[in-house]
Amino acid sequence: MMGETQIMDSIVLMVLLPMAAGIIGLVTRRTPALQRWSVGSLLGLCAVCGAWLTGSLSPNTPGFCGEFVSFLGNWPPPFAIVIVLDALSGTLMTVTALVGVACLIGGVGERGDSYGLSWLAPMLAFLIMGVNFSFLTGDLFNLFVAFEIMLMASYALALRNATPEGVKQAHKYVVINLFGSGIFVLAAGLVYGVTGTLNMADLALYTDRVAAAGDDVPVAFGAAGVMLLFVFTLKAAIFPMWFWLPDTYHRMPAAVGGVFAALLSKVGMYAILRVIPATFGGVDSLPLAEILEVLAGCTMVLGALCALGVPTVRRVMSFILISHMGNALFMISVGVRNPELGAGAYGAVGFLLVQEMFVIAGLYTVGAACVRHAGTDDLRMISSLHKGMPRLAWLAFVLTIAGAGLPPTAAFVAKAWIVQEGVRAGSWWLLTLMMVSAFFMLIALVRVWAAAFWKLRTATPESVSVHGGPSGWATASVAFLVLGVVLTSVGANTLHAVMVSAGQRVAGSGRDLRGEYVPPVLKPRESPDEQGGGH
Amino acid sequence: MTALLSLCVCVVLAVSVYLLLSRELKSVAMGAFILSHAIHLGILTMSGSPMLGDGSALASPVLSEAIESEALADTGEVRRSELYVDPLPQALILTSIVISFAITAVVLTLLVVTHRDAGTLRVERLKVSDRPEPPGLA
Amino acid sequence: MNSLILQTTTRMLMPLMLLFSVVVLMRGHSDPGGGFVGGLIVAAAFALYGMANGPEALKKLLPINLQSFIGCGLLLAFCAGLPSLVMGGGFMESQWGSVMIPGLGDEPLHVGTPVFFDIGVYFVVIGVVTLFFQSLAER
Repeated sequence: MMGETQIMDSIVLMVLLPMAAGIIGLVTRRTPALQRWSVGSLLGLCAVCGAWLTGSLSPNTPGFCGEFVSFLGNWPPPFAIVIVLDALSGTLMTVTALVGVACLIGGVGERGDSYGLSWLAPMLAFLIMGVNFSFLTGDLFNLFVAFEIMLMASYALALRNATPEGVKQAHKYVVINLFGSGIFVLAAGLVYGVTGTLNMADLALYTDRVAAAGDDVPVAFGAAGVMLLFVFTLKAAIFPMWFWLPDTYHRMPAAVGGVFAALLSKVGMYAILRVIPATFGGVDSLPLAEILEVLAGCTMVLGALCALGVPTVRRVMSFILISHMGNALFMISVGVRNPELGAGAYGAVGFLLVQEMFVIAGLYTVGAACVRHAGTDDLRMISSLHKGMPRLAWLAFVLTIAGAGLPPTAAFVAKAWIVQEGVRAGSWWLLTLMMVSAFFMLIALVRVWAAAFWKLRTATPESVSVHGGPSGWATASVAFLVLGVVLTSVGANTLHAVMVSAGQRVAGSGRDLRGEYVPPVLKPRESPDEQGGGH
Repeated sequence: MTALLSLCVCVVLAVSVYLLLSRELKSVAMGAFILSHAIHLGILTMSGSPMLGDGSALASPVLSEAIESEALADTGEVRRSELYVDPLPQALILTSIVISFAITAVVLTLLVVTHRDAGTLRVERLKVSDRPEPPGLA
Repeated sequence: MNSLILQTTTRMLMPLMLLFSVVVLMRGHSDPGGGFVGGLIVAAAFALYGMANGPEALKKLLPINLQSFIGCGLLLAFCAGLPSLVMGGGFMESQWGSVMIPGLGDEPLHVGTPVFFDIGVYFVVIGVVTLFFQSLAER
């Protein structure tokens, strides 16, 4: 049995394993089979490790408050980069690694030159390293660093094997993210200038501390909050800042589109969830709840409406993703407006994110498989694909059900949970909008499935040429993701319980559960050798 | 000094936004590079550095008692914030510079590749049509 | 570019730059300097060589695969964090020891994991920046 401290230090493995995978992937680029197996097994190990760490977060241990904290390099708390694993981040990291494995499986069957292909595994591993680090970090500036690791790997993945069209679209993606990163680091500097700390849990206590001293919160703090909200909504593709996503994601190389859709927007939403309500919820001069409600309402409805209107499979999926993000933001706004309901609402966000990662990655991969099979994923031109790829058609059906949030899947539990919290909070307007958007999403998804897979070939059969069957690897990748959907659905009860405790953790971050940020149990060990540096 | 620096940040930021909105990709890239400079200058301004002389400096978090007593021995009095600049904002800026260095490389490469493919960097000539992709791309 | 002045200057400057980069790398722990700056100086030296004698000459000068070189540097930096993990500390916790090296005076030499981390960074920066220069110049 490992001691608490050892477990705590081993949470850094969630970053180290993908990093090691990336390095090994770089060194073994000449031998593709070895590269794939080593990267894949390390990512799988990362998923196992994440599940084990999340599972060992037992709430019964005395002096323990539902999280593992580790100080990198064992520096004392104010200087250390602190990493925190709790139920929410642990579950998300596990799912992240699994989606990465699925992407790797899909990438085996990819076409292209071997130079481009050999970059998939290492860059994917570095992407997962960045994503895991953003989930794990407890420090605002390191969240920025994690975002940059993730973005840099995503540029490499997006440009690998890119067509001239893809390169043109990449400009938009790179510049938008560059601007977002700039604003992020400016906001982090502003936060540090105002509060003198960048530790997220410490920041969550800042408004309380100012109120206790009888001062007003400086305007600059609220301004930093707005800037951070801007950056995170940009990453999560929330209403006014969503314009870049449908244009860029649907031209990504086949294997990575799904992983982008599944991971990058989730990281943005997770950052909103972790930073915004806890830190800026108490700023009186900032009408945070109103802002979030308007953004959530617009994102849900407009996303679902656009999903009805666009013609290609992957564009539809982009808007479905955006609408789901709107649902998550709705729950965050509920938590901000009624802090006493925060625990349930944030738990619902976690549940939604976890199960949706599998679904949206699967749907994107299906879209990419359509392109490969029929030459296009334009719904006006493809039909009766179930003849060419019957197994993929059925997998796509499961994913469609899950994406629309219909009963046997975990997505239905997520929707029901959202409705429950919405009713409890009495936000009828947003609830109505959410129902309407769910209805539209159902129509859009069923339309895609029916048009692409079920509808018999009628007009313009010449325009589409069938390019052989689907790659077995693409089907395997989708099957892996569907397995994830099935598992989350079967284990929805367990996941629900985990997310309930996760929601309590997020709602109480820095406040009632922890009191002060570093509980006595979690103080770093005394170093026998006094840092040894100043010689 | 702080006001002057803030003004500088404003001007540089305005220049970068102007460039970012232009219709030539080279200028957009320039705007992005200048943006990072504006932001680094901004962090330096906002960090409450005692060098700026507004008297509202944050105490340096890494200033241990050992260094403080050393300073006491050297100068005869403890003048924490005037002797030591808070190194954390500078660490932030340094990290951010390294990152923007890497992104600069990415953006420049992207420009070169685009120019090679399309022969132009004007946005309106690079317009992507929404016709179906030709087969075999993915 | 075919300039006699540049070629001659490069021939004299390059060894100096390479030597200086090692100095900067080694003093990096307690003084300004370190792997990043040192690596940039080396990369600048290579870039100078490439400008003076052409990218092909640079390629002949560096007959190694720079991508694998980057991987090796990363591996070294990564491994520098591991000893403390094995010894029951946190990842990247500095471990120091002192070695007597004959011929370097009576003072023992402090050697620690941060040095190896810095050397790893040095390799990565050399690899990345040189590769960047090479691929843009070769076009």
